Amino acid sequence: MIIYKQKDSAREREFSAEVVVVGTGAGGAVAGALLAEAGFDVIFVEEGGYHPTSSFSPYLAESQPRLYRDNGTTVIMGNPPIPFAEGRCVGGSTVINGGMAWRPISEVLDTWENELGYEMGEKGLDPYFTEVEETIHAKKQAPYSIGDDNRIMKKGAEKLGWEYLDNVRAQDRCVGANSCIVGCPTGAKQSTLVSYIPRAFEAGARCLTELRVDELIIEGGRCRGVIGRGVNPATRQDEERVIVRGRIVILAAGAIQTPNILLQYRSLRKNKNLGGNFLCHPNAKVVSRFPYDVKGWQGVSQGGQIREFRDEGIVLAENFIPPAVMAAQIHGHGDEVWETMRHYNRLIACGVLVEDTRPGRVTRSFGRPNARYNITKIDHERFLKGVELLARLHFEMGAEKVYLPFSNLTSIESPDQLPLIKKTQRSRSSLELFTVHMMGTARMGLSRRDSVVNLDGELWDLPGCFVADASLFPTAVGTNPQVTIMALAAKVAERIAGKRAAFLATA
Amino acid sequence: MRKRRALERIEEMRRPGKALRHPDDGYPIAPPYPVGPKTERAIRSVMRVLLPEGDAPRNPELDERVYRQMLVSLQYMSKSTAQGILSVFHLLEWIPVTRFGRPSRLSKLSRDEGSEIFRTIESSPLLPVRLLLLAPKALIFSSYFDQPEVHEALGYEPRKFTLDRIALRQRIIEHGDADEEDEIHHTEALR
Repeated sequence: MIIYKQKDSAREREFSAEVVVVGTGAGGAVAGALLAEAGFDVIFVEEGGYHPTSSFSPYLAESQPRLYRDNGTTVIMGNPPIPFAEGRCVGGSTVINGGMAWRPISEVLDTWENELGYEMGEKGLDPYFTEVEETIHAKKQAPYSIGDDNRIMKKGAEKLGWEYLDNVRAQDRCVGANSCIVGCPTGAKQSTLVSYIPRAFEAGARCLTELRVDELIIEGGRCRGVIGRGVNPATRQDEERVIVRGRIVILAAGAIQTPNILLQYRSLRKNKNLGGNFLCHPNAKVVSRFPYDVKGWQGVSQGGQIREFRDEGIVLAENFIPPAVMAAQIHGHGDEVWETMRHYNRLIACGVLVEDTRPGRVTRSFGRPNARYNITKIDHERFLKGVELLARLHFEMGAEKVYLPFSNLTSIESPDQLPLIKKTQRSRSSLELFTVHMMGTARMGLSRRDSVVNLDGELWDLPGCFVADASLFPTAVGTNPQVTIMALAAKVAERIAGKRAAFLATA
Repeated sequence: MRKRRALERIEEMRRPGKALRHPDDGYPIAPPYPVGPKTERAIRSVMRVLLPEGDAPRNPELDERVYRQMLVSLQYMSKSTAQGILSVFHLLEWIPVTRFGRPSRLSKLSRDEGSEIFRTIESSPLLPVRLLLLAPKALIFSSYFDQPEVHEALGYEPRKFTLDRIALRQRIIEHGDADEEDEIHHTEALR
């Protein structure tokens, strides 16, 4: 058997492999596939279910429970609270993300190189980025995939003289079905479900699905496997305990779940860096109404980005969303929301993405992760500027109304009202944010004093336990993190493979 | 044998389907979250105020689907989140009495009176007060605005478009590049 469902693992109860990989998203799938190809016996443990491309549809209400952690109701606490989304399925968040495939900007990689050495710099990481980009077909979109909402952004940026970059995306002949956030139904988006996981299976890896990892097996000071609970998909109840033994454990459950697993051990909690350095690239939505049909749901989501204000920590991007998400973001209720939504085909949705200036922290209480993050005054000012810039662009392109992410200034109808943004926005709490980029909670470093794992990805305080997800990031990457997660996971896998004999001898 | 099974799995993982609302991939969807009559009354009274009327699609069968879908959604949240959200529904049911000095709870008020209270909550300067409506609104709207009648009223036809694009990609894979008429244009000014 290759893919085990909960009822299958309930029968066997105990598994063993050389490498146990927790999570099948950008980090876990890459590390697991490369190690399987290097000859390791690899077993993935995935909390979510297995949903092939043929099961994907554009219907959010049915897709969200199948593909999203907690049905998309996860929140980072702070001022303001920030809802976040992450995948819970085979392929993890790569199944539900926008598929952006940008390397970190040069300044970020220069900082990493200065602090951590050549291997973490632009040239040192280049071979890993190249391997990943080839596998996921990282490239720009073909013209037949572009929709009118992207054209508005591009033409608007050109009019205002702003730098607009066509996005590099993980896609193979993407036709712009615009269903990225509910699983690509055409198979074009190169999530790990259709890229690295198949490679892993071809090399002999197995995958336990519907199994949530609760504990690590620690014996003789080394990590020797994981213990999980089956989650019955039909009842959502916890079922049997399943033991998965391995000589190496790779945690790739994301920057919130990975520290949550580790924080239950006092010996690991002593390292105060664990759960710290929590970064999340918060973003704010701006929705605009045009006097003509745009049908933003046709054509790729996020065909490009405006990077003109990158030096100020602001990136602007189009990001269309289905009506079920859009309606929840429109201020008001009842007939007021309908009045906006009835013009759904004339709306376009965009986001202001702001680079973090102060990290938050992930802690653990009652077995669950508790993420805390407050935006700073600088972040707040960046949001105000970013929202104003987007509104200006849309008015320039003929928008008749712009809906703003502020609870006390919900929309404006002309560029003359733009100064109202600065005038009315004094408090961070009136800002409405969202994020999908969580990072940094088990950062890589040169010593346990300032990091959680070494440059091989292995925990300073728990030999045999590695991290291969966005938790590794020493700093925010300033752009979409998928390719960086994949590259660092490839690096971790290469280090493990290079020490194969030593690891297997520890059995 | 194992290799052959792996290749079959890989083929299955990549093959596009029919974009069905209820795909048959062997993954059973959980039944609705069990709630008692008081909770049901609280949810339905919040639904009554939050959902649009007028020319927006509404009928008892649609409302029932929305209600059921919401309860199914609760099953996929953590228990504490689901229970927290249900508590908020109860709080909203009683808030007219406890905070707004009305003689009756939400389910006994007219829709307009309920709407007036919700407007006060939405525009409160206090973040914790505004947050009261966040989860109920997301839960109810994500279900309502994903119903076929609502899609039709919005002029949103995602399945038809998806199937067209699946066919286009297949054609590109088999015969090379796309034609100019495969491009997506709705507004001449943007060409």
